[in-house]
Amino acid sequence: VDALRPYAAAFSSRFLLMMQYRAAALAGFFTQCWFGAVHVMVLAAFYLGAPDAAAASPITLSQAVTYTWLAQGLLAVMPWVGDPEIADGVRTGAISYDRLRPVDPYALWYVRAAGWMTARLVPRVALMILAAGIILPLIGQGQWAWQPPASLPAALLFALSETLAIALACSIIMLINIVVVATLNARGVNILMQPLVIVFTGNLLPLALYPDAVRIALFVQPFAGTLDIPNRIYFGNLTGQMAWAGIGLQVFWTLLFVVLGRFWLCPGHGPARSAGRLGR
Amino acid sequence: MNALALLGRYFAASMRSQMQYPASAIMLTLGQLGSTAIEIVSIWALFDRFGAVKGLGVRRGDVLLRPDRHQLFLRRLPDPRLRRVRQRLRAHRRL
Repeated sequence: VDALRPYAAAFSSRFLLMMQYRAAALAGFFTQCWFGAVHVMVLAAFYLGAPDAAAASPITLSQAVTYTWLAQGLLAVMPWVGDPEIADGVRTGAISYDRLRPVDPYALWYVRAAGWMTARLVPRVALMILAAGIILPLIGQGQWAWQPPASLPAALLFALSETLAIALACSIIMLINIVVVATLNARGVNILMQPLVIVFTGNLLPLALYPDAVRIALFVQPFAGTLDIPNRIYFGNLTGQMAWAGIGLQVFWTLLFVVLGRFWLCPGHGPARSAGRLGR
Repeated sequence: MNALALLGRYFAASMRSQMQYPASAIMLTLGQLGSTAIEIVSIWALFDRFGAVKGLGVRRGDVLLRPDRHQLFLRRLPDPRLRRVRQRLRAHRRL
């Protein structure tokens, strides 16, 4: 247990630090309401404007609306930028101190990324549930609301799948961090990740709405595990074996990325040498 | 030094400083390209699944893209009859 204490401390100090930024959380929440409303209106235009195609769609309008609010509420889980603390450390050279600490560098950065992510997640998701799940139905706009989970088993599976989504997203953030360390600049990789993440997580458009020919490919690619798989479990679109297949994919990609990340971060390999050079 | 030359210097200095991180600059370029391309991906996917929506489909000129954010903005073409009238007016002016 003592061996875990530095990591627990790194996680909780980052979590508590990020929880201080209440104005940022409020601003993020309003942005997400805005984008959620735009996405809901676009989806409504298509579903209501083409009723025949909508009836044949793999997810209903109400599911797509719930998907949109989930996507906006869980936006902090999207792994589209590296940890800004690492980027800052690369710029100032402070990461060379990190490399000298008597702890596992991968695990330390991983738990810090997890603290950074969950602290931004908690206030935003709570506000979004309040706005889209409680206030919208109360003012008579229930058809545009964030619906509760399909069933109790779906809710429990969603809780498991969302936890894994956070683990997977942190492992992707670690890969971005390593690219930042290797290229000494965070801007390029952060901008490059944005379109990839927006499309392949399902944030732009639920992955089920893409043409049927590419749906299997979209299901097995790693980004689906950060948003699309837990969302579809939530509203009962993935059940039974398919739900477990999705959870299995999340575990597989997380393990693969952790192994890759550890390999690239371990001393003697490329980026690690760059990190050493920064100390000069 | 006049203002234009100074602006040119700033431009060149900015390009040089960005090229200090070549891998990052290449990823930045690809990312900018990608964030515009995804607009087209989403519009294509939606129309592929839903077909025409109230007569609005993917014809050239029907779909307007906002390049800065991932939003869709749709607009109808002006009435073709109106366009024909405009063309005739233009031809008339040329005579």
